[in-house]
Amino acid sequence: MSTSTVPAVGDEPRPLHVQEVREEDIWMMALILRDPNPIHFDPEAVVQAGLGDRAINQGGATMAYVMNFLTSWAGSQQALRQLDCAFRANVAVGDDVEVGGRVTAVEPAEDGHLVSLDVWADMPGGVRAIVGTASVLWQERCA
Amino acid sequence: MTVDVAVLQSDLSGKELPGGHIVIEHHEAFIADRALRAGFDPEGAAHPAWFVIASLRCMGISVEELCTLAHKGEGDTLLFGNCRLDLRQALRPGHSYVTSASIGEVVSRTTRDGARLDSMEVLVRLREDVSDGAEVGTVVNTYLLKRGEPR
Repeated sequence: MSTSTVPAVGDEPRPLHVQEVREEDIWMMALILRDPNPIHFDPEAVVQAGLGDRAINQGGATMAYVMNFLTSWAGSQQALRQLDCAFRANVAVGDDVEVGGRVTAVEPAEDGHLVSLDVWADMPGGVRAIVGTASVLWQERCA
Repeated sequence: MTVDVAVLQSDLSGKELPGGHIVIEHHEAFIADRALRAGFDPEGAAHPAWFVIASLRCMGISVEELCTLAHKGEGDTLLFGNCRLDLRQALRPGHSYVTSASIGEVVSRTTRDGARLDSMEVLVRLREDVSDGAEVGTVVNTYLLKRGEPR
């Protein structure tokens, strides 16, 4: 058993790879979000919107992959303090997504350290779907 | 005919929305975890994506109604431009939260392909659904309306 090391500026956590976004997951999130936008379930609507021919993942769902990356690295779903995401490109059914980040600041906080990061979510070919910033509370724990 | 941006700003900036209420049902939390490829949280917290879910479900109007307020036409495309979360404490399955919501900044710009792109911020604050419940977080969603030709 060892104590986790506080991250340093420049650290890059291990990327999170999401393999092949699934149509049924987009449909489930459309129901949970109460999101009637047909670009999430009707390929014809996607074509009409000029967005390709595959159902589009919800921006909030792609953002959730970034949350998974941050909270798994920080060791707790409760570690996330801030997340600001700009949606630059659509993720569609069948796309792979790789989430990454880089530590930009580390500050002492009451309960540990507040770690700031630049974050991103990329698709194959270097298309950046999300670019953003985040902060997580890094607490001493057993790794 | 697309509405003038000055009219949009006058009508929408600062407008209070009804807000709402959400219970994070256990079955929905379970299904969302799997759809979002999330791991199990041993401390029982809901996935932080529930802040986003609550912000979209609990404006007090639907996204379609928001589009109507923004004069969305048949040829316009709605996009989710930006989402900013400030979190104070985790949400929990089985718990109930209340929200207040308002429209913030409304701006317009022209894209590289010459289309008009209107953006509209919606601020949603979440509180515990108890007397004097603490604020648990805020969400600012920026919706984009790419104006197009009517089909």
